[in-house]
This record gives sequence, C-alpha cells and structure tokens, in this order.
Amino acid sequence: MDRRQTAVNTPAQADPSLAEFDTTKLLRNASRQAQDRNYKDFFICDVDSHHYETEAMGEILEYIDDPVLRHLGLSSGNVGRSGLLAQPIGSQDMAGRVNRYPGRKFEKTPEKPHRDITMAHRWMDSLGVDLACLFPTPMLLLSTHPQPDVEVAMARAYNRWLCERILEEDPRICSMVYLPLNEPEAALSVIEEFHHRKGVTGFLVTSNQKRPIHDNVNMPVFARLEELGMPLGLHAIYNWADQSLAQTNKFISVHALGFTFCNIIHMTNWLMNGMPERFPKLKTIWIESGLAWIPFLMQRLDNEYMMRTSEAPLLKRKPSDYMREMFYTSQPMEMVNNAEALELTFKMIDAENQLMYSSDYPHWDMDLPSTIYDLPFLSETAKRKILGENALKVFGVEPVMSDWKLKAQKA
Amino acid sequence: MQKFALDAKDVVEGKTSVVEVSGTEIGIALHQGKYYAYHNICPHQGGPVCEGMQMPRVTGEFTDSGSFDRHNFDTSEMHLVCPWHGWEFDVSTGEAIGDRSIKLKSFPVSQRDGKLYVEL
Ligand code: FES
Repeated sequence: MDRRQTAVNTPAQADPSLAEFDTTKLLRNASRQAQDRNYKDFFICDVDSHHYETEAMGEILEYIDDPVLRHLGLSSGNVGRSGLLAQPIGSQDMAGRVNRYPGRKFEKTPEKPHRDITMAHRWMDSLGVDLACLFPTPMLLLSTHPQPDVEVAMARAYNRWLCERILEEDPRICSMVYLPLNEPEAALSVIEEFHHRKGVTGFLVTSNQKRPIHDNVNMPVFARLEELGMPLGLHAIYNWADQSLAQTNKFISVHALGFTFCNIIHMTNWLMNGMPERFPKLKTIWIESGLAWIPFLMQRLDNEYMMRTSEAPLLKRKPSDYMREMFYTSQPMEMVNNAEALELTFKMIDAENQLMYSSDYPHWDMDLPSTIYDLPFLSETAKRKILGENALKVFGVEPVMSDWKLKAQKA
Repeated sequence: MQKFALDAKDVVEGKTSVVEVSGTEIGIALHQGKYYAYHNICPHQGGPVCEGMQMPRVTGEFTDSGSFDRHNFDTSEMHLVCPWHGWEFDVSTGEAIGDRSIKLKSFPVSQRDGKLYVEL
C-alpha cells in the first residue's frame, strides 16, 4: 500500500488572498442578504457571538489581582505555556477549510478603536446585527480548569478587561459576563462587582460545572440574580473528558452530542429539583444547543413525570410547561431542510416569545439572520421578536441601531 | 448567451478563479483537463462557495477483517469547500457531498483561442 503523503492544499496555498483577509469581503453575500431583506427596518440582536480573547490576553492578564498568577501569565509569553487556560482539543476550522480561522490573524485593523470592536463591527454590519452579546472562545472551557483560584482570577480579569476596554467603549456590544459558579462565594462577589457595569446584560455559566446546577451551595447566587432581575445564561460547550463523551472518537461526534448533552443534564436537574418554583422570576437562557433537543426533552420528561410525579415534588406543572417559559438562542438551528419539523419545534417552545436569534459568529457553525427571516411559517411580528425584540425584553435594554441602517432609513 | 469569463491560463488546478460576468460572480475550476463554472453562492446560507479551498475527497480505509486502517485523500474527486461552514461540493458535478440532491448552480463553459466563455 502506498503510504506516501498526498500533497494537498494548505489554506494559504489554496487562497493566497488570506494574506489580505477581510471579514467584510468574506461576508459580502451576507450584506447582500441584509439589503435584499430590508434589514434596515429591523432591529437585530445577536444573543450569542464570540471573539478570541486569547488575542488580547496580554491586556487581560494585566487585570489579574494575584501578582503571582499575573506574573505567571505574563512571563511565559503565551497562554498555552502559562497553563492559565484549558486548551481544547479538536479542529474547529476543519483543517483550514473554514478560512476565517487561519485568515483572521492577517486582518488589518486601525489602532483605534480596540481591534475586537472593529472586528465585531465588521461582521455585525455585514450580517445586519445591531447589538451583539459577545462571549469569549477558549475561556468557555475555563470551568474545567482544575485550579479554582485560576478560574476565579481569570474570570475577574476577563470581565474587567471586557467592561473597560470593550463595553465602555461601544454601545453596540453587550455581554453576559463570566460567572465562576464552581466557586459560589466568588460568583456572588463577581455579581456585585459587575452587575451595574455598562453593557452587562446578565451572567454566564458555561455548561460544564464541577457540581450539579441544583447543588445547595449555588442557591444564594441564583437568589441574587433573581433579585437583580438579571438573566442566567447557560452556554453549552463540549468536554471530551466527560465519561460518556470520551467514547466518541470524532470532533463531529463530541460536538454534536456535547453541545446539547450538557444543557440536557442541566435542564433535567433544574426541573426535577424544582428550580423554576424556587426562583420563579429568574430568567434562564439556554445557549448554543440548537433547538432539536428541546422537544425531545419535553416529551421525555413529561412522559416520565406522569408516572413518577412524586419524585419531583416541587413541580406544580409538567416539565414542558416550565421549559416553554424559558429562553433559548437559535443557533445552530437544525432541520433547516424540514420546515414541518421546524415549525412544530417553534410551536412547542413558543418560539415567538421565547426564542432569540444568535449567530455564534465567527465560529464554524454560525447562522445568519436569514435562517430566521426566511422561515415561511413565521409572521412578520414573530420575526421581529425573535430577531431582536425578545432579547431587548430579557436584557432590559433599549435598541441601538447600526449606523448603516440609520443612514439607509434616512436615504 | 456566451460571455467571456477569463483567459484559460489564469485557471489552475486546485484553485478556483472567481470572476464577475455581467454582474454575476462565477467560480471557474479546472479538474482533470476540464473546466467547470459555478455561481459563487452556496445553497446552504449563501456563502461565497467558490472562494474556499479545493480539497480532495477524504476516504476511510479498513482492513479485510473490518478494522479501521487509515484516512486518505482521493485526488480524483476534488471538492469546492465553502468557506462559511465547510459544505463540500464535487467539482465535476456541483453536487453537495453530504446530500447529492443539493447542487451548485452551474454554467456551461467553452474554450476558444485560449479564452474561456460561460453560457449565462
Ligand atoms: S453558506 Fe456555504 S457552507 Fe454554509
């Protein structure tokens, strides 16, 4: 058998223009969609988008309180060697096939505003997004870090950097900031430090926690968020070290299952332990698990609940009744070729009132606003709610329109 | 109607050339001596499908006893890879590899005097 290496394209060979990579150019077909669909008259909020905070890690590390950890991060010259962030395994960019991953480092930006703001505005303007809720990328795995003090220090430093360098500077970017729920006392102090900061619309836990979500130690944190009226976001991730996911051998497998599995576990615990009855005003947002898992879990839990009602004594209604009152982000929306299945899913989750558009840009499975806008079974009112108005209500913020839309409205 | 697209020498194997012909963006690829032309709009979410990498089909090989042996590239089947989400399309048919009923919009290509023309 011939075992020689077959020559194949590297991203740079296949596309020398990567050296002049430009998000606006990559997304010009998205801009055309925005024009064709008249998004100038639509307020669009993206409830789950990302940046690569590792690109600004030198700045972020400066915000660490602990001088030894700060020195550790800054002295080693790169995050990988410092051990301050967990390093995910898996080829998100499909070996360069999704070229914005290798290309972004070549993208030129002016000195001001901050590069993260310029990069965000480029994709936001192309997609037609007015307000983006921005989350980190590698730090989504921070909750798996074995050192609790590192998780807390990094969470605080990142939140401070984000508030000061990005949210203060730009009205079109908001965030639900990192909540180190593995350390509930620290989580409470993070809430106190950041809940009033400009652009902070809630708090985010990544869906891989060392304790179950319903653990009693978490209750003061949920009580405080409820009191403040701020939503709790549960952002899915995959954790290849998870016992059942460890049996998968492909990124497609661990990603497809992991991103729903973690929220399925949290949601089941949340319901069976009566959390919606204990914190009836606490809004929860279930992020980046797609939509197909919701009808599955509604059916599964309702069916068992009817037989084993006494095992969930805090519940006063069926699990699906509570789930229908929670909030969900749309991406990655499955079944786009099966409108019938999608329509039923939308009905089952009361999407018109509970669903919020999200792109997940710049990640490889991002969704454009047209994934919602083009759905034939949605009314104009439903589209407006899902694409923006629901988010405004959940976050309690006013709409901020992008400049190009304001100009286009006047023209 | 046939329209001039670009000089044949400007299209090389393994790299799709994108040109605008009468306001339509078209990607032209050369594979095993034949030219193919596709609309630069992906049927998934509308990405610039012709601006991504070309990659050979990835195959999986297993032994006579059924054990997995290794992956390989099959360069006889090249794919246009859409840079937005990675959908792959067979260069010679325009079909999506994951669902061959989904196809890129194609245009007939002809070559005369070293120049390539597409039928719009
Ligand atoms: S738009 Fe081409 S793969 Fe999604």
